[in-house]
Amino acid sequence: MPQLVRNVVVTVVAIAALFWVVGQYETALRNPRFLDGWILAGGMLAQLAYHVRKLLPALTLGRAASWLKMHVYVGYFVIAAFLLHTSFSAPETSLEWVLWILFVVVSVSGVLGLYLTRAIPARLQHMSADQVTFEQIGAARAKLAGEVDGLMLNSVKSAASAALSDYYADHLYSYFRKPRHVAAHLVGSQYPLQAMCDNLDRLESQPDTKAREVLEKLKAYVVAKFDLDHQYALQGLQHAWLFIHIPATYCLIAMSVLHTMIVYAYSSGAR
Amino acid sequence: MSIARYVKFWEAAEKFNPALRTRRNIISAWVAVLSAGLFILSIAYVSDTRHFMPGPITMSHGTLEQCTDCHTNVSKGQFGWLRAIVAPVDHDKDTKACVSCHMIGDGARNPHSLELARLDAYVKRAEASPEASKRSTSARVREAALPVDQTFPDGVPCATCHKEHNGQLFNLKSMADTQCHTCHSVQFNDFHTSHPEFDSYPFRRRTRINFDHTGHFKKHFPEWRTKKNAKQVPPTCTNCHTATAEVGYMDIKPFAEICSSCHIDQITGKERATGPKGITLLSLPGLDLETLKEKNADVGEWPEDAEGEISPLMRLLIGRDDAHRKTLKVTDELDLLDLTEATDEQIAEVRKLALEVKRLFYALTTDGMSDFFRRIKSATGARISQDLATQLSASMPLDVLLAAQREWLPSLVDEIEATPSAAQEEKDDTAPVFATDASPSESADDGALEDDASDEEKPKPVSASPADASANWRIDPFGRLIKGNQLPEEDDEEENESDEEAAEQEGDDPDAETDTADADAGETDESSEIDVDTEDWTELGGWYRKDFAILYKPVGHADPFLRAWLDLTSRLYSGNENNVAKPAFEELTGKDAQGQCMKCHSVDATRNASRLVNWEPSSPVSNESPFTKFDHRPHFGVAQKEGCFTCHGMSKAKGYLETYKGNDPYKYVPNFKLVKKETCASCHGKMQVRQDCLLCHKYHVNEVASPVMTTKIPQN
Repeated sequence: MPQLVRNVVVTVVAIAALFWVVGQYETALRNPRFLDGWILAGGMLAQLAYHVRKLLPALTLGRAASWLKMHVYVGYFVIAAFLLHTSFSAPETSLEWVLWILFVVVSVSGVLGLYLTRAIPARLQHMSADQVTFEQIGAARAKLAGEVDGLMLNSVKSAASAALSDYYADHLYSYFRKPRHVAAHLVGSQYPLQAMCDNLDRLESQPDTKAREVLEKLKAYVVAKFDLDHQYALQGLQHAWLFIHIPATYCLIAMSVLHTMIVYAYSSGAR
Repeated sequence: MSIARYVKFWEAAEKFNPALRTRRNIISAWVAVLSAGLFILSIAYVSDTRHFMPGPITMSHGTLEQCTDCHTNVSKGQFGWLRAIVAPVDHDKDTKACVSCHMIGDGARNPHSLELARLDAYVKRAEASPEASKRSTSARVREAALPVDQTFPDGVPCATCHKEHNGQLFNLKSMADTQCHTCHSVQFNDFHTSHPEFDSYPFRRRTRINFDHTGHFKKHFPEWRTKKNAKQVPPTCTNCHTATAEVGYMDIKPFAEICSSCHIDQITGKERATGPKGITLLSLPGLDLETLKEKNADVGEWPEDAEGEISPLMRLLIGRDDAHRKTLKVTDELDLLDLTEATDEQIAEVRKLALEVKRLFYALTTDGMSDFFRRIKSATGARISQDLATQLSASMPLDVLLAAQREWLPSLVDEIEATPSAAQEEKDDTAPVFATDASPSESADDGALEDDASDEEKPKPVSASPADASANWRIDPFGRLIKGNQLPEEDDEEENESDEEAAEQEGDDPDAETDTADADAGETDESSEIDVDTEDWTELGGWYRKDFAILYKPVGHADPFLRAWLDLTSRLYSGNENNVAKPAFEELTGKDAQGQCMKCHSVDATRNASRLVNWEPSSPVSNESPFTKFDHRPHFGVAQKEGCFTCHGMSKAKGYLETYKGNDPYKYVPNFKLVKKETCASCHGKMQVRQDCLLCHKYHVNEVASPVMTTKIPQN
């Protein structure tokens, strides 16, 4: 049996067992919200263990990939426990809304993050020939900017084209120094690149052959920078969702502790 | 925040160049601490605690202002709840908070709010059922892992089932079928497919009112239709039955509306061909005076023509203690009109009986109904309320008693006043019961009974002769019992007359008494007697005197006298042969009993062998199947074709009336067929009609009442 199928089956069985146990618990006149609440809390702590594992890489407690798988499937189980705990309904009071929104943010960001970690590398592989790591993008961008600066200084010295150097100074200097067109990269649009190339093409009317050579080189640098920005945007997104997922998780756990305290304080007659 | 702006923020952060993960963790920790801090601050300063509820409470609980109104283990104050996190939950306290408004009786936390003994009986019956072995595996696992009795050793708190904080419009009474499966572990999925067949629904017992529907439909109504009063035959079921507002029971219309036209004469006795039409309360038994005289057993004055027996009701008045019950028992074995074979001991008991009869008449005459109730209380040990006393005596007029006394026992007063008390008599069985030659009592007081200690010590002399004594006592125009026969001549001399009468009562002027007696005798001789049948005269019911008995004729349906005596004697009834209530009850419930109450009102044997007269038909209060409910009203619209017969088909089984001869209400033959489950299932389940447990079953078998407001009356 493929591993994926096995994992899905185990998760589905675990969720079914959860529903059955909670049903029996309710039939035994216990308050099922206590049981599925503690199961939910246990699941959340298990998810937190993955985070702890990542914080402590020195500990060799299994492969990171195995931990991630566990994190993903336990996550699905926890979502089922949450739906059970909330009786598949939206909350009605402030604290409940806070908890509900936090959980939804954590869950949705987690599921989205899982999708991004699967989809973005494939997309990058498909679109970008020369891949650099996210941490190397800054250096690569600086290197590219330096090379373009050198090209344009040389062109000015050789007085190849004043119009070209003016265009560079006005429109492309900052382009090579900062990530640009992030939104367009996220949606996969080539429009900014096309626009820049069109503007450069209009400069091709200059009679100077040397200037045309510089122009062609500059276009190649623009394309390379656009490709680097593309990697930057997608890899940034790949990392950015964790800035939602993890802080929301911390917040959710803190609020859950308070929630548990309040529940037990007002649990008269309900255990 | 847009992605582009977020990236800018990220880029700025990169300038510091700490590890990305570290930055995330720092942000996360800050977010968590800030949110928790914000939450704690909100608890401290936000006065409206509804923000922290799991959900709004129902509208009916909307007036509760504080969480602590229900969560009794939580202290007041913004942080009062912190202590409650670890404090043990007091379920009793919580339940009290509920039952202070929803009064449900002592067993509020018991399953079904039933007394545990009654619940145990139900559980044992269920466990003995063959169905008990059909529990599902999940039920067995659950019972082993989560035994309910261990979770709730002191009973189930209200909040276990009635869960609040589910919204303003949430129905707190709604229950899922699974909640019933907690204890009812022989489960079924739904009504129409797997609910057990009805075993004896709706008749777990015979109907309280004995009404033979089959007999009326097939015999009586057709007969009546052929007569002039065919209009009195009800054309439809609803002429007699009507849906009530409470719980949808089909009620029975009152007797006056639906039964009276045919049956009232059976109650009042008009249709009686033989026997007295009234119930004998007091009677003078016939005695073999000759034998008594031969055996030197003096019973004093006693009418020779008396032939009757002591009535069962009178036995209750006489048998007020063991000694008198012994007397009754001994004399029961004798033919009081032929005592030639009686032993000396039996003769002595007959003499005691005669004395007791006289004492009874004397006490009733002179002491009013107080003695009557003392005797009943003494004989039965029952508490007699003022209302019951009124009904038991049916406000018997003094005239009836006095007339009887003057006719039957004219010397009664003097005889009794000259007689040793009962206690004294017990001490000295050989002493003569009645003196025969004593002079009129000079110290005859105002009719003190035999209980008077001074009387016991000093037996008083009796009057010279029965005739004289008869002349001594009468009722004055103001209804007072006085001694002396001289009537006041004029109204304005009333005061003087009263003085004279008082003097006469003291025996100051025996000559005057003799004169008055003579005068009275003369008047009697001169007047013409009216020949009237007292029984016929009492056509509308009430007290009358006939032969040597005082009788009461029922005034109509629900006669208070009959009902009171039946209630009293049924409650005190037992199979013991010495039970004084038994003969009275059997007399009143016999086949030929006056009033014919038992023709319709069935009598059940109770657990303690007493009897229960079913005055009322089945009702939500008397329903012996408290777990089941049924509302007729929603069904009227869907049963038009066959009407009531859709569910209540006539049964051809015979023996309906026979079952009422016994006292076991659970041995019965109904007039109607039992309702079948498929009749209900034809709609419930198959046609999207509700079929959950609580549609037909009740959890709280005792009604949940609301407390009445305690509004104090203004002081000023």
